[in-house]
Amino acid sequence: MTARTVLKNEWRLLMADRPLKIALGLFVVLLGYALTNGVVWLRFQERTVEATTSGNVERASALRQELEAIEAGGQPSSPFADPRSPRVLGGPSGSHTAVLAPGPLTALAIGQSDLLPYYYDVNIYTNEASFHQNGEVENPLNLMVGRFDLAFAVVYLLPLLVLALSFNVLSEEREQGTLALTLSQPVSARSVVTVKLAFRALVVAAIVLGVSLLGALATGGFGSPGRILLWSVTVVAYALFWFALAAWVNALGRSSAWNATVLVGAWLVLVVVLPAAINAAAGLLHPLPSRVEMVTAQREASNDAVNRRSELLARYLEDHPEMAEGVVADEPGLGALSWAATDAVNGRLEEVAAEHDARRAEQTALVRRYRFLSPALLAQEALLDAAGTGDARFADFQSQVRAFAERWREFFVPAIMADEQMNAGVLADVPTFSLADGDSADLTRRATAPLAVLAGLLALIGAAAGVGLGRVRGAD
Amino acid sequence: MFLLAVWVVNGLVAPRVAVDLSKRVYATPSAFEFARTVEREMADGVEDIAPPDRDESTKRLLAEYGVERVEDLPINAVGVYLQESEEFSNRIFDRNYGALWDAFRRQGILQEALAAAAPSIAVRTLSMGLAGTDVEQHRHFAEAAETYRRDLMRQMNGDMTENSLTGDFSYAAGAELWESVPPLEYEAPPLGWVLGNRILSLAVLGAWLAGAVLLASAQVRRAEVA
Repeated sequence: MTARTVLKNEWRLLMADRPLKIALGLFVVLLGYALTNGVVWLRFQERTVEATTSGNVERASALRQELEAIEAGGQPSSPFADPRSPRVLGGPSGSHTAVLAPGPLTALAIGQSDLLPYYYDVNIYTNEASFHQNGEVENPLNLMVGRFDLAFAVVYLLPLLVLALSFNVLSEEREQGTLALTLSQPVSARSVVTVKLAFRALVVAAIVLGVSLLGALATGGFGSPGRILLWSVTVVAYALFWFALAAWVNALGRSSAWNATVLVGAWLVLVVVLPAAINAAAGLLHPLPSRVEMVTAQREASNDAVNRRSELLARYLEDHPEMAEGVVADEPGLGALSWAATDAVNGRLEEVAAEHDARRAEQTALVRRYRFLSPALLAQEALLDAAGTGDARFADFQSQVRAFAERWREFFVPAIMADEQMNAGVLADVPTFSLADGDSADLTRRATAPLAVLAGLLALIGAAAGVGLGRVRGAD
Repeated sequence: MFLLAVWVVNGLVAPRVAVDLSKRVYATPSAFEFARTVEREMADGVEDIAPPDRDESTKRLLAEYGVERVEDLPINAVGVYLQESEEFSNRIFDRNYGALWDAFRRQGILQEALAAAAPSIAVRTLSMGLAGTDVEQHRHFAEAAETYRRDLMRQMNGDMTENSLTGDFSYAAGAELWESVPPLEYEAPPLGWVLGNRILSLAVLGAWLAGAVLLASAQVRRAEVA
């Protein structure tokens, strides 16, 4: 009996097994549904990105028109919004929207992209509080439940399909009495199980990777072959882990019912209980400071700063001697005074934000330490990272926006300090945001650890299964 | 295997599908779109909500008090204008946030109705309601806070209107004004209100219970006969 005979018979058996065919068909439908959902979300984000880009252009051209009209002798539309003032031109009405284009494989994994902001209106008043605001407008109920995307289907449902296909791969033969017959041929139990599972793995991988590639193809994600490769490798390694687990449990020589119970129990613990427990522990052990603290700190710092503007200005100029030139020391302008106050508030907010970020980092560290307990967490992390919808890409974006806000201030603040007026000529030099996608370069480095552990788990379970199956004799 | 499949569909698949469906049926705007709409309507007004006209407002006050010049008004016209601006923006907020909250509410109702296919959704909505953490109770609090804010603004603008004159920016209210502002006393909605929002979930869960019991007893009877 050759591997080919086994494969051929397996195919016949599969085609004859109605419940299994239904399960496979249902899985394909669910994957298709998940992909559609991802594509809808991707299009939604793309429309927003387009709107921010055209908004930037419209805002800039409106300001240019108004500035040119004023230079030609016209009046500003409002004395409180005179675009010649650097506080107005660099303020909210002149702000530039920095935007993160959706991750290359967002259609496959919505991930954090419905939770974390993917654009910020940057102006001179951008501070840490701006980075602690909500992202999309979304029903909190929906955020709590989560979305049905391909990553969800892979992490949660794929193992169940794998287990349904393989929980009785050997036990059934024994229960039907065909095991002794099969093993009377010149084959070992190990090779029979390997070929049977390899066939099932091929079917599962073909379905999942087929739908994934279709999604990538439909959304132009083929520009990121590295990401598609990482996605595919993760899917295959994760699926193989569950096949190996099923093989090992089968090697223990118990009944099909026992196998099913143990395997479903393992799924429950590894996919549902452990990830939830680890996240709950992170929140419990390292609670994030309440957002109210940020709001209160901002309010208190603002009240305080307004009262001590002159003192703050003196201190600011000590810290920024390069700015002192434009400021008339005896009679500082309103702009300089108010900027010194703003700067003091920003400093206080940075302290609160640092506290918040430290807690958050502790949470992340805890999750990272224990994620090795659950292949589901490992796979999830690698899949989101591959899709560009994981934490890392958003953190990278946020730090780029921070740097951009700094550049923005460097452009406008000297003029504010010196109480200078601006004109249409400076518009061409106003900084604009362009994203440097440094995330892709880091991708390999970040994905190495979770994938290595996943591969390690796979090798470990696979070896145990191999040893166990080596002991199986037809007569037992 | 069948029970497991039911559990997976009920606990994992159905809630997420319900979210997607409710979002598809009752779409909400993107945060960007929403912010820009509010911004635009605040600047230009919308439909029958027009931004307050300062000249109109002054003219009306002059006629009302029978004087010729704003300086002769016994009240501060700026205070009146500020309050008019408040009322205007409140209407814009009500319109936009009201529509958003309504979309959330409809999404929630649709999800509750989908509990007909998966009872876990009904259990979730009911437990959130009883724990006081559902969207409706959040909205209840948010609206109480907003009402408080509006009363506060009205009181401050009213004080400025009555106690200072137009063009006088030196007026500063004393501590007693602030002391006269009542603190926000929020009263959480009673249980009846909470359950009233959850009638659909109660009904669906009741139907599931009755259906499961009936089915089980019918099966048991059949087994006995056999």
